[in-house]
Amino acid sequence: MSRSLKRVIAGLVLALACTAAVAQSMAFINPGKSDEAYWLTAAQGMQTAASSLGIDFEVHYAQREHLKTLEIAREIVARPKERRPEYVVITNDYAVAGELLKILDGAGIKTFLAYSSIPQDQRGEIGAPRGKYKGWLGSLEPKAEDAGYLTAKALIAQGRKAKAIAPDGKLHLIAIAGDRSTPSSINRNRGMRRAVEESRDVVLDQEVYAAWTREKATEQSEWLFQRHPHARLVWAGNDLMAFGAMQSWEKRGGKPGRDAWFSGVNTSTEALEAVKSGRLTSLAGGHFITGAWSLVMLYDYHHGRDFSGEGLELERAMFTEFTPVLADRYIERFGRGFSGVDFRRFSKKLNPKLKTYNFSFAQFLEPKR
Amino acid sequence: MAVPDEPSPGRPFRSLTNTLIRSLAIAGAICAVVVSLLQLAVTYHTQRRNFESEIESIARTNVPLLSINLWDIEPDAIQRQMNLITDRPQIAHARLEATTGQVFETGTKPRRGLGESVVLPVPYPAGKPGELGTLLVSPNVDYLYRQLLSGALGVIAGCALLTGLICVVVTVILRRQLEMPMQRIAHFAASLKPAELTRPLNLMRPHRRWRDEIDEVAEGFRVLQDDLRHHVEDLDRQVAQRTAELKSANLRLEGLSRRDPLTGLANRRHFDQERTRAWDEMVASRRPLSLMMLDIDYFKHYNDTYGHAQGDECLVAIARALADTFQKLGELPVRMGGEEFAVLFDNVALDDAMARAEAYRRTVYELAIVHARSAHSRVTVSIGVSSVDPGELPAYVARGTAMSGTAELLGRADQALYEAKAAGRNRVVGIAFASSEAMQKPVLPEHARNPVKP
Repeated sequence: MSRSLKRVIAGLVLALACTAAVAQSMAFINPGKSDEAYWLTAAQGMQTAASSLGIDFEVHYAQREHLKTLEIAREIVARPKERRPEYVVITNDYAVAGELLKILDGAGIKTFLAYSSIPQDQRGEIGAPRGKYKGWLGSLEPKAEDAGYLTAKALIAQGRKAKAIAPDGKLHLIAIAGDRSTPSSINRNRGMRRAVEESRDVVLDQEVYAAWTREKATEQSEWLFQRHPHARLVWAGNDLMAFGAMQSWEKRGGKPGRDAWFSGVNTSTEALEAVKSGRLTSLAGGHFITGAWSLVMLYDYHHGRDFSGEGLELERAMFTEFTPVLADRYIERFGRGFSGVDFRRFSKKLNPKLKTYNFSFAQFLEPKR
Repeated sequence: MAVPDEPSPGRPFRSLTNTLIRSLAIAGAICAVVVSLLQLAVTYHTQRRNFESEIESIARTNVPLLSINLWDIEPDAIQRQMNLITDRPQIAHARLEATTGQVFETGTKPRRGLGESVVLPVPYPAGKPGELGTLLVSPNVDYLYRQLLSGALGVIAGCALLTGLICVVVTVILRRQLEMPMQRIAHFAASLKPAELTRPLNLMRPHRRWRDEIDEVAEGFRVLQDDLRHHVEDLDRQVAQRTAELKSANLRLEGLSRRDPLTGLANRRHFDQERTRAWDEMVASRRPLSLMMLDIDYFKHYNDTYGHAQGDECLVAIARALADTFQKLGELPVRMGGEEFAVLFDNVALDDAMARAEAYRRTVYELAIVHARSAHSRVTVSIGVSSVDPGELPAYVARGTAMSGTAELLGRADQALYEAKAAGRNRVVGIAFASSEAMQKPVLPEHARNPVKP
């Protein structure tokens, strides 16, 4: 064997060893289904961030089964130490975060709560980050109330513009919410109600819960349109429920965007297209990026730039209201995926001049200079 | 009018137990039917009330939840509520019509005309006026029928069980307390014989502190037995008395038939019986047999002179003297008829017999009964004696019958009497059976010395 070849092999081995030692490893326990647009986009965003920052990243889908999240956590813990990820990003969907923290922290794995944190009334013995569970580093949530508020405001403005007033001289609004318990649902509804309260000419006829699904929203909206014949504004907690309500309105012979106005949340392609066509009056979205932002924060933490200066439990404005122009631009830029974004420019470690994180999604939709 | 109970073999036997069990079974069946009808009525009313209370419960619990779910537009929850309503067995069908047009239906639609459905309004939640829909609830008629049927069957089964138990208990009690003692009594009564009236009736019943009808029947039997026994004993005594009376009468009659009524001596009939007996005994014992015949001398004259009454007195006197003289065993004095008498001597030879005859002749003579027309002016007798000695009995006579033998003896004695009369009367003449030679006792001289007193 030639000396030069020996040197090459030695160099390769060393390089591999160095890579393994240096690369930061992370996992995400995704509560959604692997074919669910929102959670798929979220995972894509995180994958893009991980690629930009050189992070080993893995995603596990719990398929909306809350026991599955615990199974995934136990599976991770059961691995040999060298194959375990150093960081696991989790959510508090189905209120399983406490149990997840217990499992992962016991194995010395660092954790970060993204999308939804543990509400104060569910804290109990869990306490705050870096307390009882030392590896629980912190949390990042989108300001969900914004989504409800922004869309309701836009809906009401459209109603006024179209003069969709009932015989009592007021705008009548019906709300199709997601559920009664998850914090993001509660917060979105609160935002919607705040917008209604701010408007003296708007009456909230009824608020129902359609479990985030298109089918139930379709059925419930049929009843609602019969029960509240003067309601012309329909607020929905997500895009699917807005489409359900539009479907039953069309079934009654109506034309969404002409004789009734609808709003939704989430940046699904169908929703963005509906905004563009005018069927959907108002859409808020962009919060799927929370996971990617969490990876940026953990990258900085790992490399000595702790985010504790900005607080351990962050709730930041992320939602953007999509106008037809922004919708068009979003489809143009991210229609085929999120891989084009370089997340290194959002890192404090890599950009020492950056003092505070800007988590707004709007920055991705700014017109090109 | 009561028909007397006669034992009729044509009627079949049926025990009291059987009759009682039949009566109990019929009573049980009637009871079951009556109670079943009552139970049906009670069940029907209970089920009606149950349905009403279920309706009330639905109005209290399900309708408010239906109201909330209708308002919140939760079709799944509405359907669950509806299922809960028809899960109640009393409810067959429920139909919810929302004012917005939606219809929810559970259960099976009831047949028309059976049971009345109830309509409940579903109001708005939180006291808002108006209705969100109406709930139509129909009762489960099949369930009602099942309840009625099971209630009736339960009563019938209970009555049947109770009746069966009572029958078993009654059977056991009757068999022990009535049937077995009665059968024993019947058997006892059937086998009772006059000879064993004293045999007691034993029912083999356990000892108890009280008495019952069976004991009284048994006691009655005892009394009846005692009375019967007394009666039978009384009859026996009466029969014995009558028999004794009859016997004595018979004896008296027999005596009368053998005696001469005037003199009390044995009569000719008795003599005829006795002479054959004496002859047989003579032959068997080989002892001599003697016969004395006597006749009152000139008795026809006596009667003619003194009349029949005095004649009878004379006869009685002669007879008394005869009875007094011949009263030893083996001497039988007899009145042969009229003024003729005889004496039969067992085991007395001719000499002895003649001596005894002579003594009697003298006794009569010394009686000195006046007879004016007699040779001695007094009543005298002539006596003929004959005797048979078995040793010297001729073979033809011994072989002959006692009748002919004694006739022969009588003939000899008669012959001797004839000869005594012929010789002058007041004397004794003897003739042995085997010879015809008469032996004469001479007239004693003292006759002359003792003349008849007037």
